[in-house]
Amino acid sequence: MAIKKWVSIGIIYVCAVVIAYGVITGDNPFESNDLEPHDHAAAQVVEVNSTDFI
Amino acid sequence: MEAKKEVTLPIEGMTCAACATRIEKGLKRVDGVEDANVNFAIEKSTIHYNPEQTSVADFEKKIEQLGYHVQHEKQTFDVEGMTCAACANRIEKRLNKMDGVTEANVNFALENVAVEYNENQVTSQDMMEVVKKLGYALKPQVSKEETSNRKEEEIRHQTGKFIFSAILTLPLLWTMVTHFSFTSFIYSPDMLMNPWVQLALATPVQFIAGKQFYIGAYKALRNKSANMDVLVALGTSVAYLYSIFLGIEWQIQGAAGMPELYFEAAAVIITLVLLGKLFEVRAKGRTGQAIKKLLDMQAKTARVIRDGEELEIAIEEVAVGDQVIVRPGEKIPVDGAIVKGKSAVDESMITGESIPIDKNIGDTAIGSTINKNGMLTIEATKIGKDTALAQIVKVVEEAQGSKADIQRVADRVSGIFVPVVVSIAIVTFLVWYFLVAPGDLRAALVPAITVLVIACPCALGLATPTSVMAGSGRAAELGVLFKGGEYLENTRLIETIVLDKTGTVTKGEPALTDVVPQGDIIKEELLKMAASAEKHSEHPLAEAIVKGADEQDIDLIETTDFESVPGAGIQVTWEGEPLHIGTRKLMKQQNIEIDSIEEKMIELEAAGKTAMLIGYRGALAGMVAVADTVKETSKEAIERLHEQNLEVILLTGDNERTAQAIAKEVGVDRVIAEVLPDQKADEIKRLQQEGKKVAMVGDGINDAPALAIADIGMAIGTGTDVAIEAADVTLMRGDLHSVADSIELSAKTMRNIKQNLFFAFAYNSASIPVAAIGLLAPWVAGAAMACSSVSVVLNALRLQRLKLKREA
Repeated sequence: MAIKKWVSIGIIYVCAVVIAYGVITGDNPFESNDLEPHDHAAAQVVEVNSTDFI
Repeated sequence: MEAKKEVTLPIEGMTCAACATRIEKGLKRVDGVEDANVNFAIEKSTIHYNPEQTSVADFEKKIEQLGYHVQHEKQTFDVEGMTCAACANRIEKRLNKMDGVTEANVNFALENVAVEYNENQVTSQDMMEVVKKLGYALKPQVSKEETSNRKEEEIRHQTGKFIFSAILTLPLLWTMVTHFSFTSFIYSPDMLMNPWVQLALATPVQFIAGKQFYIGAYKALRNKSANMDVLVALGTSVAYLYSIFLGIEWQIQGAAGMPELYFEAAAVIITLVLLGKLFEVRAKGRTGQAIKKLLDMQAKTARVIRDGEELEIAIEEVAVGDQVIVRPGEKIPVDGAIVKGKSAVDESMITGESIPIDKNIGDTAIGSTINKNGMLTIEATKIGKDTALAQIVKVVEEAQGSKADIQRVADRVSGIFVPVVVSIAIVTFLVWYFLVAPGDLRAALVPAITVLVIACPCALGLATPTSVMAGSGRAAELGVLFKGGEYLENTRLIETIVLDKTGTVTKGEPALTDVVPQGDIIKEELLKMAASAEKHSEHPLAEAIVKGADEQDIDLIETTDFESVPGAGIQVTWEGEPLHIGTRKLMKQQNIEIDSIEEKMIELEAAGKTAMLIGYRGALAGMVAVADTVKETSKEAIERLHEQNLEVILLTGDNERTAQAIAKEVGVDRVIAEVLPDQKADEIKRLQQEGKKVAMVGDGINDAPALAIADIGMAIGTGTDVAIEAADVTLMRGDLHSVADSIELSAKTMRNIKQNLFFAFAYNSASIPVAAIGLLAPWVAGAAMACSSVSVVLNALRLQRLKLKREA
């Protein structure tokens, strides 16, 4: 398969997932309720510490 | 009990029916042989034997012991479907186990296998079927163009797959990046935190882009072995399936909050491994560029005269005997002899000689060299695979495909590496699950997955072959042809270099310098006698005397009863009386008194000249002396060898004084003079018995046994085919700098191999404990693994730009 075909299929697939999410959940796929750093970040700090990943 | 077997072996080297009887008797004496029949006419032996008691290898050994040789078919196949060194090992082991296969050598980097086999016992079809059962495809090697097209197609396919995988992985990576406190300000859509969106993005990566890992793993496991595909498939599948489980759990629990998933780890690992593979395929293609460069040197068409007409035809259509016209500025298309015209020919691409060589009728022309200024007509003598260039390409290809000894060690290690790593991963999981974080499946799975991914041995399989390919390719560009990986590896271990004098240290074109008559004989008459007698000899010294006489316009006469006295001189009949020309020894044998000329002779010899005494009618008639000039580069090259801490010895048949004079001029450490041609090999053996690793450098037919017996035999390229055949290394450029170059190339290639093994092995091994104690994320392991393969190949490619000390 040519490179162009792989690229096109990839992009179309990601778009399809985004659209399907919007249709199924009725939510805006690009909405982020987590723009304020405090909540999510604090939660993740605990999480990161617990796994000790680098 | 196994049934009796019959085997037919083709035998080389039989000269008469007695040989056949001898082999037959010898074979019948082997335990387990019931009957043996050797047919001299068709040069084959048929043996009936009990396979429980003996094997074909025993017969071959016996035949070799008797002084004959079992002929083997040699063929190179392309192998498709190999993903790592473990695959290469498996194919090699299986082929080597087949009855009739003498040796199979898989080159993972070149993706081919060279097989030596007995075609009466096994066919290429049998081998293809066996390899197919292992899950790979064996295909007879096609043209280089087709192979290169196939490789380009593979690169395109891998590139496409990687980009596809990257497009789907990027959103997953996005969520991962925003996980950390210091990156939490980055915008991240909620959608991407949804487990089912992550599943939708990760699934094509896992099963479409990652399909090759599952196929590879299945093939390996079916054959009860494991390779890198097993590690990648196992590691990513565990991460993927565990994430699905967590997703279902999240859904059941009311879809509150966001579960910690590992879809992104699986996808990133697959994407990075694909990227590593892509770099690997591209770089592997570049390591073989030396061959491409060599092939590009060849002319594509030739202008031949057929039926009196001048035709331009493809190079493949030129036949031996064709008259080929070469215009100024054109490449000479084939090897041949000049039949018309004269010109200067640039042979630098073959011999390294930068100054164009004047060529006249009767001189030989080498294909791929450039005709500078005159029109030449050449009669083709060698075409296709017989040309000098084709031979060079063949040697380089064989060297690139061969294995260095160190690779065999690496192969063994990579063969057991995967099962060991899987065991470590299981132990890691158990320790975490039962001891470190009891009952925490997630905490136990992550380090186990990381261990699986980080320890992948694919870089280990690439470490040596990529360096051997790049090193031998660069060596060929610099005019040094190693016949195999083992010579590239061992040349650096040489401690003593033995140099033949004529043609190696000297130009091999001696010229007449002195004519010293005795008694009432005049100079011209003495020279006439010497030249007429030496006319029948092919020795370079004889040619110098004849040339000297010719320059002085002396007419030669016919002599009779020419006889060569090896290592001493010649004898002919001159006007009915015996005439001897040669050494003191020869004169002594003929009871000819030489005292009157001894002083002058010593003086000439001390000046590095070779003096030859002439005895006629039982008395001394005089002496002629010739001198060979030392090559301009010899002294400097020997200095380089000394800088490399090598002992340099001059080995010659010449007398001690002449040899010492040359030795002093060029600066060698030791001289072994007055050695008869057949004693040269014994001298090398003697040096080896002193515990030295000896390399012999020579050019003549008489050097061939010494070249063969030395630890490394080096034939200087301007030499004879016999010498080149017997040697392990061919130095295409006629100067001694190539000897120092070969040692430097060998040392630098080995250093590169060791660096590669370090990158591949130490790096992965050191990461295993780090991964096992949970200090490494799975995606970091994926990146590290890809880096190790890429760094290995890139490091090997550095050899292609290698500069030698004398160039620097």
